[in-house]
Amino acid sequence: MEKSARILIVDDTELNRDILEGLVASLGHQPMVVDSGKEALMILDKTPKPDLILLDILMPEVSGFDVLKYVKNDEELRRIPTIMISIVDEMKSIVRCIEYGADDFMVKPFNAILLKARINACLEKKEHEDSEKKFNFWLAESYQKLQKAEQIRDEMFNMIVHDMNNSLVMILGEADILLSTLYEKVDQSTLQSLKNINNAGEQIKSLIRGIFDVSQMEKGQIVPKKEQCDVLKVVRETGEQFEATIKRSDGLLRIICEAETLHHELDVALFRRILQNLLANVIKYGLSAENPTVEISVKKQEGILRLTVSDNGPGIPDDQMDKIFHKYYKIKPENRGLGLGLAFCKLAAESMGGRITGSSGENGGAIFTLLLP
Amino acid sequence: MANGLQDITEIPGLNIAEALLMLDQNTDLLFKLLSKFPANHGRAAEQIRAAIAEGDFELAYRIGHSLKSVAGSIGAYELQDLSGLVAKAIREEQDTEQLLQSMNDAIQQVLQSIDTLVK
Repeated sequence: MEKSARILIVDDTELNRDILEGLVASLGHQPMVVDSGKEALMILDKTPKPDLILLDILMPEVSGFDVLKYVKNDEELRRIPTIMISIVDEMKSIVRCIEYGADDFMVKPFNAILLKARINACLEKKEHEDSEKKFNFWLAESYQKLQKAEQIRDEMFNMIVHDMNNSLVMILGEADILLSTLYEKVDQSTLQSLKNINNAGEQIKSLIRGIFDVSQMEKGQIVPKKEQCDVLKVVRETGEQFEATIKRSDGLLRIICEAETLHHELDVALFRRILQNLLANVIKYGLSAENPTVEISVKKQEGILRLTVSDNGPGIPDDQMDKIFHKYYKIKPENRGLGLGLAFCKLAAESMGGRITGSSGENGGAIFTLLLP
Repeated sequence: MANGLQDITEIPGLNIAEALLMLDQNTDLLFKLLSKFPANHGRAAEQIRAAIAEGDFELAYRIGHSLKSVAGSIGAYELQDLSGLVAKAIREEQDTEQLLQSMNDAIQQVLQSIDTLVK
């Protein structure tokens, strides 16, 4: 304890006050001496507050126990360490004080070495608690600021995306008009340019949709509407959308299901979007150079629907398996897309009470498993 | 302030070496306590008797209690024990007169010794 502390000494016996005052001063601290509980309460109502209280238990009128009760029931004062003082014969009252929150006790006659150790221990404890409190306060404040900043960022981002979307709808609409009106009037290369504009616009549109979806999911604005459906039919339809692209890379899409139909209660739109996202990822990252194969397997076990999408592509490094479901996470920074697809899948699966996990296949490749109750 | 307390080896009713040990060799502080003792506690037996006579047993107990702690601090161990017994007897509502006499004898001896030390 380097710094000098203010120590309130409360004792009705003058010679005891003298001893405590002398010992406290010799420790380099500032004694504040009073001769009654009443005086102590008056001092405690003023500022600055003491850093420690040495409190005699047996005093007329307002006893040490009364002062202790006052201190420990006060939000501000309770942090001041309080050492009770008594003679050995009064062990019962000492125990009562400790139970009431007294930090330590000293028996009279005083042993200077012991008193010094106890004062220092209590002061160090208080200093530690004070700095811990300050740190916690700072931490809570920083966290709040961070949350606020994140909120502002998200709002700004959504606003920009929203405005971008409005312009994009116009661009796509105009391109469409140009395409249909100029179809037979212009040469092939002009037509191709128009188609390129359209395609690029559609790509941006799907990115924007991903952002909207995740943002709405996070805000809980999408509430799943469960209905009975033939899951296999939905899987086949969705698979067909991607089959042509896979075939263009000389790949193969297999749908595996033991039954002809597979009924389950789920939100069809969300389920379809999850599968679309998983297949879009396969096409972007999962097609191997030789004999690319994509498998969708679907089955029902003990009432749980299990959908897996696997490929024989480069797979996902083990240390990134958890992170790929985080918003805006990309395995490689140069990857196209925003890194929202899997974040959406996770949120959508969870909104339906299910979950989605990623793993590596025995012979490489990535496997995504969706489980829905 | 050199008061010579550290050189005292034996004086009736007081263990100066032990008292200094408890006070971390603070001779100035012990000198102050010894100087104040006669006025503050020299008439403890009388005061206890008066309090008992008035039926104020709390006050009587507190006087014995205070004396016990102070006596312990100045190395007056016999007086510490006797005042403790007096306080205990008051609390337990037993007869105190004999104990009070012994306590007073011890006080007188401590006062005499202090008189030689604190001039």
